[in-house]
Amino acid sequence: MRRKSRVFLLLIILFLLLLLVIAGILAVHRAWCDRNRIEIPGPVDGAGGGVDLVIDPNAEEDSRHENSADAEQGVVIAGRESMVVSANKREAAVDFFNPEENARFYYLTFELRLYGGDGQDYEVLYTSGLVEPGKHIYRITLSRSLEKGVYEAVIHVQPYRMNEEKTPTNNADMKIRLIVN
Amino acid sequence: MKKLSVVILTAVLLLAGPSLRLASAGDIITQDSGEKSGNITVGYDAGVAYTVTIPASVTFTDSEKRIERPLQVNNIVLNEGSTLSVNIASANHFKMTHGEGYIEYSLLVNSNAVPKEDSFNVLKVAAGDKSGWAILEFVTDLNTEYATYAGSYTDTLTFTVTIN
Repeated sequence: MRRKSRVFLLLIILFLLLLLVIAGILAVHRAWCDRNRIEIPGPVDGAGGGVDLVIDPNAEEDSRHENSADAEQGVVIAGRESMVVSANKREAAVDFFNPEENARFYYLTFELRLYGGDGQDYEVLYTSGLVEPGKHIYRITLSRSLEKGVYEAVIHVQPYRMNEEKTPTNNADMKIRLIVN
Repeated sequence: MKKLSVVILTAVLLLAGPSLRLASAGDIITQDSGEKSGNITVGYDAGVAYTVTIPASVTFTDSEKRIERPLQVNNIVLNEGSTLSVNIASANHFKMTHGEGYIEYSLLVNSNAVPKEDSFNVLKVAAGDKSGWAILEFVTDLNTEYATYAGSYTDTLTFTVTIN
């Protein structure tokens, strides 16, 4: 008889423990659900009550914000003081390149401008297409050949954002001596 | 015992072989073979070069009317006595334009207001310095008095690098 009541007591204790475990699991689950729920207050008179909503996982930061950390990345442009080409030849060896630092951000284009005596008017001798970061242009064909001499020239570098619109950004003019020999 | 002697002798010959060969391979050793010296020229023609980092763009908003951007020149190699200068010119004389409308802004360089000239100097680096920088501060009150239409108002800056 005593043994029977012991077994009964043990079963009750086990049952209570099981109830405790289930209650714990339910409490944790409810807390997790509450964290992801926003309750919109109902009308002032309370009719209708609140509406349960969850955070939309598709909502994201404003990617159009131009001053984001990525957009603050400046454009890196390599410059030289002079460039040498052969007289009476349109083919020229150069090194126009887009530094690796611009990876993911900017294409560059290069325009070789020959300036006249007034320093205002210029003639375009060469225009490149978009150059990707890490790429070089080593050989170009000028729009015309030049006589021997030293000319005032500018390499105009226009960066473009690597987005669908290829938006042009601020740009740079590198003044150089174009040495023709 | 004989075998052991052969093994030891072989080992000695193998170890000493290279040095014996040097002496017997016909090297001519004369009184002139003392220490010699000579010169070779190791050279590299370092051309004048640099890298400039310019701000790509600045976008004002109602909450951002004062924006700082760095201007940097690095890896500078110049001829002795020469100077690298960076000037800035605004395509629209420091007005962000849209059609005929505009919104004015101004520029400070290292906290000093700069005149709205066609082109003005913002940075100078002398030969011997490897880098130089300036902090550009773009400021506007977003006064829309002359902004005729809704839309994007923009200006473009050109950074001109000259070596004198």
